[in-house]
Amino acid sequence: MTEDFIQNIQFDLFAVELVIGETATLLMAEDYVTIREVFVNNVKVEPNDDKQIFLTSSGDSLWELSEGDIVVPVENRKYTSKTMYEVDMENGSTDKYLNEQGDFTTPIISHSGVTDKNAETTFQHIDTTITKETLAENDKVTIFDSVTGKIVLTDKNNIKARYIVNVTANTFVADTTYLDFPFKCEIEVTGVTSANNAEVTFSLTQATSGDLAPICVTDTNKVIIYAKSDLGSIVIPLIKVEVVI
Amino acid sequence: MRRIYQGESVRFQLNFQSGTDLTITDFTVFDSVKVEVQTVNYPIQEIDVDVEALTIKGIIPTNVTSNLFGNVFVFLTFTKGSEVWKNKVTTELYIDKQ
Repeated sequence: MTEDFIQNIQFDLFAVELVIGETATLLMAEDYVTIREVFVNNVKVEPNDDKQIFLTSSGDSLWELSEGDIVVPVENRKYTSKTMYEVDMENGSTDKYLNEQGDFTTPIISHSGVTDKNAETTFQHIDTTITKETLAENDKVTIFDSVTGKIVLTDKNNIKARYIVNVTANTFVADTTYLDFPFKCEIEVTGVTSANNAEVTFSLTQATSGDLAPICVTDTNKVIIYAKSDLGSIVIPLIKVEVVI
Repeated sequence: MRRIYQGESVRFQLNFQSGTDLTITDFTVFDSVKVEVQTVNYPIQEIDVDVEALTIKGIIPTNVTSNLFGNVFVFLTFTKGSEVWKNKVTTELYIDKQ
């Protein structure tokens, strides 16, 4: 025996979000969607006999007018203003900060936050304006990489020319290399090899005294100058060391 | 639209179909199921039904259909504790006069 009609019945859940403005009336449409429960601040609100729920805005009772039309919190109410940063910190999001556009959700990428600064495509993070007369052992220097078009850091030993100023030469010892200049002074310059060419610029007094040979020699980690006598301690204004390619 | 005539009995079957409310696994989870029918010309009438896990079967008796005229609407009321589910089914059934 067949039925005169067959109907499928299913039970579905619906999530209903209410956005209440100044006033709102919630109509309970029984034939289509039955709204079974309404909670306001975790308190269940029952509909009236006409199946309506009136949700009052509590905003009016939070503030009152004082003298001079100044709005103040009502009695027993206290309001504290906090910066968005403070609110964010309370919420445990320490990595978010208010940016210049007032966007609280977009973290600002700081210079220190960029781990691979040479990979940054938009901004140049290397400060090339610093003037430094001498280089320490662990110093890095900036060079323009003609391959990538970027300014990058490189070890100072990769620099082909080095300028060393105000170099003290104070250890002159007897030497037989040059007959006219029987003393030499080995000036320690780390990284120099015999493959380097060095140019020593003496001061005017030193250059015209005749006490110093007009040439110098390079060897492993040193530049050697020659003199007619033990000059004690002198300061050489400039030594330029470069690689002979 | 299926057409029958007043005084003829009507058999119907409601099949359970899984929805998104996973707490409702079949018709037996309800404490009571009430089925009512109505046409536009006559007050709502409650119908006796047999409730099984996946089906609800019933017959609109002749003494009821003899008073109905027009499209048949079925009102369903499911009760579980203090919770009530209501639904209205618009059938493809039309009761005509003899």
